[in-house]
Amino acid sequence: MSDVVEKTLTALPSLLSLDSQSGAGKLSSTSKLGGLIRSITELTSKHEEEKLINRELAAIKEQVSSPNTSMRQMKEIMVRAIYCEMLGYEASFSYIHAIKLAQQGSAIEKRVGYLAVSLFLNESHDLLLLLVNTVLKDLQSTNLIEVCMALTVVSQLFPKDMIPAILPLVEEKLTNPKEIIRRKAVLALHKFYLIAPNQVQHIHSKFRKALCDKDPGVMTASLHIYLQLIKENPDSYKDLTGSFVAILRQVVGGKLPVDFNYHNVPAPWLQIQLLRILSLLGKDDQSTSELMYEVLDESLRRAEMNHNITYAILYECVKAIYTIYPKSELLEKAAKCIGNFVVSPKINLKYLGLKALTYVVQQDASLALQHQMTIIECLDHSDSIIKRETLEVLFRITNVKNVAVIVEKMLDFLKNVFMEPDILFLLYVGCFPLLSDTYSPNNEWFIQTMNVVFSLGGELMHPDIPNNFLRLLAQGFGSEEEEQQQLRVFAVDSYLTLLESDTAHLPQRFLQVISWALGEFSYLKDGLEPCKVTKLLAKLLDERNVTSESRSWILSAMAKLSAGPGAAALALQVSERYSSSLDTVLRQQALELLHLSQDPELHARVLPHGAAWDSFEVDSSLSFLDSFVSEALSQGAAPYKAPHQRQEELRQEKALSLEPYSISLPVSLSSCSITDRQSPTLLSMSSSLSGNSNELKAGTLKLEGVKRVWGKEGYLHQQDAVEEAAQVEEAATPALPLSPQQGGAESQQTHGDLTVVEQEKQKLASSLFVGLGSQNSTFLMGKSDSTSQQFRRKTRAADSTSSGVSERSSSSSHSSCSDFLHNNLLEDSQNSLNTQKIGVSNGTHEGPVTQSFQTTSKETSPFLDAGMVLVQPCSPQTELRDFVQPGSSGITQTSLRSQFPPELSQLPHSDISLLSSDHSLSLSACRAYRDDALLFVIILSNLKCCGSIFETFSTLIQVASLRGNALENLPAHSMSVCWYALLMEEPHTQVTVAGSVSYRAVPGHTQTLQFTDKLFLTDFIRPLTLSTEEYGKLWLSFSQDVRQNLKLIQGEGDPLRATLSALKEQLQLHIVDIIGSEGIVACRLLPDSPCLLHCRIHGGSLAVWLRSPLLSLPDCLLYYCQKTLEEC
Amino acid sequence: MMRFLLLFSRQGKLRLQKWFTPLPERERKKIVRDMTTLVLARKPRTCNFLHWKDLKIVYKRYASLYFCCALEEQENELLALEILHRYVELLDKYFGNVCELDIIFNFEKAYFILDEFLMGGEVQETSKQSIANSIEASDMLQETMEEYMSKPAF
Repeated sequence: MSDVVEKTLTALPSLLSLDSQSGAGKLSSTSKLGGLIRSITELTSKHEEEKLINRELAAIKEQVSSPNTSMRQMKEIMVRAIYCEMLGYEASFSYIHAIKLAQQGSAIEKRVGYLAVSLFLNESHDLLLLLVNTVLKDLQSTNLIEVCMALTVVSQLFPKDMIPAILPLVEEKLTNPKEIIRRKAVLALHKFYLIAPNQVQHIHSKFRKALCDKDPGVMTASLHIYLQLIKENPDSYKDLTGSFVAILRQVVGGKLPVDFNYHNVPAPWLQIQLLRILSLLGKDDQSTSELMYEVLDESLRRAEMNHNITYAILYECVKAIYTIYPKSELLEKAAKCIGNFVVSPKINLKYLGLKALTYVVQQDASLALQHQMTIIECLDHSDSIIKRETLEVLFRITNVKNVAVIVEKMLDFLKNVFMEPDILFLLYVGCFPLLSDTYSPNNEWFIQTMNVVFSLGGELMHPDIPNNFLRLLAQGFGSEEEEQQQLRVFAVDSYLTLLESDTAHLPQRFLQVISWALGEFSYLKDGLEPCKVTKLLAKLLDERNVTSESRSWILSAMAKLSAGPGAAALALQVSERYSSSLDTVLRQQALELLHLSQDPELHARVLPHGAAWDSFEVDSSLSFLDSFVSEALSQGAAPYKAPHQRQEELRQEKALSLEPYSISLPVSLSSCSITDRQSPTLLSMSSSLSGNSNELKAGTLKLEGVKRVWGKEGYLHQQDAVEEAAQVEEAATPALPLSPQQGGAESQQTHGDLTVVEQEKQKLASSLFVGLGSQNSTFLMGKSDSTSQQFRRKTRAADSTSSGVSERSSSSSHSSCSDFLHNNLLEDSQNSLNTQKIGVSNGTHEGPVTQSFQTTSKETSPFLDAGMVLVQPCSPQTELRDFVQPGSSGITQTSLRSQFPPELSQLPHSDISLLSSDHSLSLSACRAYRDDALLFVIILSNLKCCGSIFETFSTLIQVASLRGNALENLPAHSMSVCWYALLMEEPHTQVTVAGSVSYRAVPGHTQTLQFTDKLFLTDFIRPLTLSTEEYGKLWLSFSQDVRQNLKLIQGEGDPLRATLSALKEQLQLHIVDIIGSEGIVACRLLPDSPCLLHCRIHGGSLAVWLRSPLLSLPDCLLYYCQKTLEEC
Repeated sequence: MMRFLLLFSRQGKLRLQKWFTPLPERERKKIVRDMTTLVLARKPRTCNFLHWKDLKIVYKRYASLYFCCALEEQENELLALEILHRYVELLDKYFGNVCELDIIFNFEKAYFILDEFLMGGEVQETSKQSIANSIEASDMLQETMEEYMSKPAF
């Protein structure tokens, strides 16, 4: 009986709170939690708090483990435990009780239980598995609230691999009569889609239903999924554009219930979501964009109220307008809108305005000119965030003339505020335009700026920056050899000065850069004794704060310098000290140093002065060791095993094998002992795998084989920034007849009494925005000559890097002004191509001066690394006239196919599809399946037959996991085929290939044709032939596995055989063996990542178990298996 | 998508935390520390947005309490400000003239309201009335005295 009384008493407060809803807060402060909180606030020290909480936790621990504690008390206890956790004290003992509360409590207690679980546990926590059952039960409950709670917790955290267990139940909720449940179910599915996209791919049709739901809330929720889907694959959802536009029109028109209004604005969240979707759909797609112009215009017009939320909509609208296919009328309005943001006194709006400007100046730099005074003001803004945004805008408009000023501003900012890797990155990229200028003082300036960047950047710096910087020093940025040497001497000079002063504050990365540069180039400086440099390096070596990584850089620099007379003695001394170092790398280098310093002949052979960069050949397969290895093997040495393999074996030996596999595949396991596992096939297999992974793990600052993120023109992905600077010169001309200087002068006239401050600002403005104005300002400054020279040098730069190719570039000098624009454009196109080689066929434009560049079109792959293969594009140039009627775009498949070179036409390939075309050029593509790679074939055909000349062709493919690169020279009236051999580095269900072809139909006018195409995982799958025995061994060595039940094809004969052969047909798999109701199948992802499938008939379905060494390969492959079988 | 939402006082005491993506405990603590120092250091009348790693931080101060959330790159900062505002409105409606103490003493209620408003880092329901209704519905679930007494006591 006393129990009942106690329960009643504990129930009382909450019962009372029920009466007066709003007073709930005040009342429960009398509870235990209230007591706890109050006593904490009374405490004075952290130490006391710790003591109190520990006492409290001990009390809680005792109570939770007591069998007499009711669920209601438990709820109260749990709240206290949550509070303690929030204060930062661990209460892990209560986790299990939280789950219990969620399991056993009544609704209100359950809610607290679920809350505690979602706050306490992480997605990977083991206890979470216990929750699955509870969630399952609640999802099936008839109580609306319980279902809601279950859905909420599911979207908050749920173990990924348990999703299949509850998926059908959540799916079923999509048809629930209550809209709140439908909405939550949709959001839960969104969450599932984010964490395990392949698991929910089969319910895409249901998402469409949710999109058409009569309740706007459910529809809104479904947009989250659609945004995600469209982001990944915009092409498949183009058909929905009309619907999205219609919805947006209705929302903007105020057709939704007032319930959805927010501060009198109709459903702003919905509007913004739709705008985002539309901008994704309309990107680079004129016809789709045309559908939305009207509604975007209306959104802009309607959002006029002066409230944050309307500004949010406007901002999104502007972003959409600048993302989709441009329409001048809308762009104008959007630009005006941005203007309003930028000049707004509200600081948040100013911030967003600057942000929008950063985005927009890349397309239209005249906007930056319009707002130059505001930008100047923002540069001195008291809020550093605003300052930072402003600098970002400025960096998008850097060019040769204003970069020095902008960089100076940026450095000021960096020194005063805080370190930001992003800014450093920008800074580095921003410096590049300057390098291409002729005047040598800039070289010095560049080195000094870089010194500041390196010393400020410290360890936060992006590792690509030092890598690229060193590459730049080594290879040059395209200037004359003489200037190049000058730059190096500058670098050596400034580094010596730095080393002579205190070096303690210099970051490690900078020290590494310094020592490398000194080692490599100090011989260039006349009269500099290597001994002096070695001494400085030796001093650096002894500094205490130098890491061993930097030490090894220093040692290798010393090795390079050790040839000189005085240096040898010092080298001996150093090597003696470090030859007993604990660090093996240092020890090795010290010994190398010793040998090199004592044997000048060897030194000259190993480390020649100023050797060309590409003359080194690295034998990455270490084939020179072959004889050594085979000798060792013949003498009975154990063959090498990669670490993961050793570990695997160790695991096999120690642990009990719990694999169910032994039952299902007795053949393979029974015959497989540990010694068997060392069979040659397996070894070679795994060693090739490990080889791959080793390649990926290349050292951070290694120069050879480093991905070329940086090019002559700066960071390759951000080329637009640089590119735009050049574009601007002519783009701004019509828009702004006045050059900035003139503009500045004029305003000075009008405001006679400008304060000194303002004048200074304007001076700053003219230095910042110079180069953005019309080109006559350029000529005024008498630089037309330099530009042409600059162009010439750029060409050379590109030539010099295309490794091992003999190329001749003859350029007649030209200094005429009328050539300027043309040169600029040509340079521009080179920028955008980012290729290593420039092919310009005889430029026969009517200029006063004719220039001609001749380049051979042979090219070895400049990007060759990490398993990527580049196949030389071949160009069988045929007269297009033969098969194309003038004016008709109908090029038949056969005519295209007849273009294939013989080695291609024999391969199996897909249909040829049209990628993109414009009035003069058409691109088609086709995929050919070669055994070792996927060949992506692009057919370029000239549609114009009347005399126009194509001068330059080039193609660039740029995708995350695929790489390729080629360039093509194509004379008039012809068709050419080039192809790329592609491999998949990381499994994806599909990847988009994007590229562009730039060409010049008329002299001086470059056009670019963009194209995109999709490649699927299945394109990269090839059968893997192996025996059952090998399969069994491989199976055990793979760690990634996924299991799922798939549909079985019910046909004549054996369903397993039918299903497997269907899979084999569609996905290029290899069926290893079929034994009874089980089958084993193998395939590989190009280049050589195996994936093994084990299929078994289980009930009415096919239980598939996939294993692979790659993380997501089983998942992706499963997706295609599922798709194939659904379609059958 | 919103990555996390934090409520903390002017003294940097955490009042509420919601994580929409899984993060290890240590990481969370570090983020909370970073956020409080970053946000509290901001001077008045500066803008409400910050950069932190690859995330955008949007914060707003209501009386003594800071509301701070982290957004992914493509999200709209102004909209996030309004999300914070709507949350405050909801709290206000529920507690009636809400103050920091209400949230301290009834933080679980604040969590429940948040769960009705945001789900998986996305806005789930924007209507003030519907959220109030569903919260009320769950609150009403508390069994009545009679039901409670009639249950067998073990």
